[in-house]
Amino acid sequence: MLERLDSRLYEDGSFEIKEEPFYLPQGNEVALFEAAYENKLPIMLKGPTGSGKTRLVEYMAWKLGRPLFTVACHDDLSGNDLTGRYIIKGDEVEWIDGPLLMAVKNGGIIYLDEVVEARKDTTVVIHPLTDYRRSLLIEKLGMIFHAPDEFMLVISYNPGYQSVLKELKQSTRQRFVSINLGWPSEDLETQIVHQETGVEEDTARRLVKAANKIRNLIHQGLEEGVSTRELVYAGTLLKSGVPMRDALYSTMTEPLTHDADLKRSIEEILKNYFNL
Amino acid sequence: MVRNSIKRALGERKIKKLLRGHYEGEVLEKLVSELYPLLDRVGYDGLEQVAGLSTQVARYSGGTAVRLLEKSPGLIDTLLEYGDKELVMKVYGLCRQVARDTIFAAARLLDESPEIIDRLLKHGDKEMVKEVYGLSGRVAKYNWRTAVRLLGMSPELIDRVGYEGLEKVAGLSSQVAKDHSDVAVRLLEMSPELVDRVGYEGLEKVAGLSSQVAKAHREIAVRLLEMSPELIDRAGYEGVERIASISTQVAKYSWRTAVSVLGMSPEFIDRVGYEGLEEVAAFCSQIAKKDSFVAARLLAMSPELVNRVSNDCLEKIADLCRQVNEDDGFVAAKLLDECPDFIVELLKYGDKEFVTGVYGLSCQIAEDYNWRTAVRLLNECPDLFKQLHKYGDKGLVNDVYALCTQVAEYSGSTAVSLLEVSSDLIDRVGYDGFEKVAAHAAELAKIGEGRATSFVRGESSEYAAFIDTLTQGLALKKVKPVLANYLNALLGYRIEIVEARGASTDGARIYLPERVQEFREEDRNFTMYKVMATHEEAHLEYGSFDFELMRVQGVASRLRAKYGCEGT
Repeated sequence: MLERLDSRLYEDGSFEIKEEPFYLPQGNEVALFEAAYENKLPIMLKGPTGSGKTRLVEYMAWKLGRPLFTVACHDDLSGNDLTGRYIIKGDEVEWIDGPLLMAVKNGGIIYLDEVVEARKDTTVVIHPLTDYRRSLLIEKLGMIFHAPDEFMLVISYNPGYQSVLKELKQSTRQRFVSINLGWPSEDLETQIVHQETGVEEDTARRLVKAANKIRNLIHQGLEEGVSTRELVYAGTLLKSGVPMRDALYSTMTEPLTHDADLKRSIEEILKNYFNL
Repeated sequence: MVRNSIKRALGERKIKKLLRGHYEGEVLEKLVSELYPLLDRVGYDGLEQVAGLSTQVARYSGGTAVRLLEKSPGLIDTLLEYGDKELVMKVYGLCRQVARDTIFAAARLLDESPEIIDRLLKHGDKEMVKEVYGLSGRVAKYNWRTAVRLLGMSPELIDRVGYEGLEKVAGLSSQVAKDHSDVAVRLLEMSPELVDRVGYEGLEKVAGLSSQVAKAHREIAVRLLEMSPELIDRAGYEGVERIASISTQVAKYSWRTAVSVLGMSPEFIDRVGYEGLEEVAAFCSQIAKKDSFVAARLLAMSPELVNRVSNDCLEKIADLCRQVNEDDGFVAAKLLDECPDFIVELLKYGDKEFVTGVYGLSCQIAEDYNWRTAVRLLNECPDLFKQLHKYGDKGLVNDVYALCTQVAEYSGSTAVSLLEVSSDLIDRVGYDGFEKVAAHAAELAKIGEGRATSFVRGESSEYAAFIDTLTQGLALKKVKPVLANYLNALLGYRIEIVEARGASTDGARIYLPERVQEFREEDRNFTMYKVMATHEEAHLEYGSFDFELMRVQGVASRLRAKYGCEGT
């Protein structure tokens, strides 16, 4: 972990997105993102699991030519993990930059994925970076770092997924420009699956149609619907010759629920589109 | 002149002395006068042999003895043309040895001796002829048949192995003939061919082996000798030894089976090797303990069957035939004869294990119930399987048979009935239902065979109730949660499913029948529910009942044109 946060890695160019990631815009999110960047505004991406939030950030980092520092937030992630810490190396104590400080120093994009999962003190750390101050206070160093114009803060957030206890506070939410990424339209999602996996367009379309029906069960038994990512997995398995039944059940049924009746219902929907 | 008279009187007196006791009166006088001329040619000791033979024959047949004596002058003349007095003595000496056991063979041998000598002379000189007769005489001490056969075959043997070889063969035959004359004779007969193929040493080995086998049974030894050239060609001497050992083992139970094993051994070795032969032989030995007929017959069929089915299966077939054979040999033989074709038919529906199972069940039924039912069931199998095949694949046929076999553990007659009604039952209640009927029948059979059998045949009251429970179909309440989620997914909102007599919708609810019994299989009944639910849902999803003014716009225009007036 510490190694990954070592700023020297950036010197090696590890955080640059060198090849254009495949991304088909759902709407005006690319233009909105660019405008926010130009105006030094932070962005909050909202949307269900697997709807393309991370891919959008990667795409924009490539497009804007900025290094991308992605942090997958979790229960134990604290402000120190973002800013940096002292570590003991032999007889000496050495400071190691956290990803947030790395992004600030290098004018990169920091992407805090599922930010509400992290500890509350992280919000305290990021708040000064979201407003006009665009600064980062590192108490342990006794220093304030001012972010360059190229620096950008992006967080992602899945409103339907987190519990009430982990809801993002209004005071935080209202510091961001919000881009909502829902499920792509049928045509768009078909194109995504078709181009990402190489399956026939007809197969891709049937996968998307079935997924859209299954998504109707969200909050009716399912916590999450079939993500575009799962559809891509399904298409990939089909393309690699995995039997249809196995490919579909392992990506579009089993990951969604453990409930036997619900699984049977999903299988029946899949049977409407595929000869299982 | 006087001297001649005296000499003749003395000679005739000596001859009379030889013949007295068996002949008298005119016959004696006549024989004496006929034999007298021979006295000078073969001497008194020669005449003693002639008379001795005559005396031996006379004990059993006076007429034959007289005829023999009457022919002797002419015969001796002939013999003397081929040789000397010594030859005459040896010919008669051999005949006397043979006559100890059989006067007729001895008389025939005497008659044929000119011809035999004639043949021998083509292969050697007069001395050798005498040697051969001497050799036969020595063999005759052990067994006359062997000696006679040796004499008969000696020209051929001399031709192939020379006189020395003949002596060796004679020695071997004598050894064998001590205990088993038949074997010795056959050894002699086979010896030219065997010597050709395996040399004298090989012949010696075969002779030794035959003697050994003959202790178990001489027929087997004879057969072994007969087959030895072919067997040696195919399997070598060691192979012959192994085959002989197997046959000897089988002979402990049945010499007929052992002979069959021997006869079929080349074919077995070609098809399944020694190990296969050993296995089949051991298995047939077990059967032969109880029934040599079945064992021999099965052995005859084995080469054809052994590649198609397992040894276990052969055992079942044999056991069934044995049971049938106890009552009806004809049916048993027919059963065995039909085996190959029947097995081909069975193999269409399963593997070797399945065929073993079919015969195993019949065997069990024959044992627990009666063999006629077992045979009938076996004969009905192909038709039964064809019917079952309509309802599924080979697996179904196998499963049905396996279930019936399980039931047979408790009751043979119940199993038979179950098998007979299996296709009808599957037609009515499916395989799952059939499985339940079988399980229930097995339970009943533990209590009483009659009750179980009448249940399976549909003769008991509990049968109707049981079948009813199997054909109740699929209840809506069982699939309601699945259908509710399914409809929710299609429609995008939750809709209530309500039990009704048929399928319909009022827009707020979907009505479905309480139970679907269209099919035997639950899956197909569920599909029926799914089709009905989807049909009703589609009305709502695609707006069959949505009221749109635009839809009736054309109708309204036509109505206005036809009936309306301006302003209305």
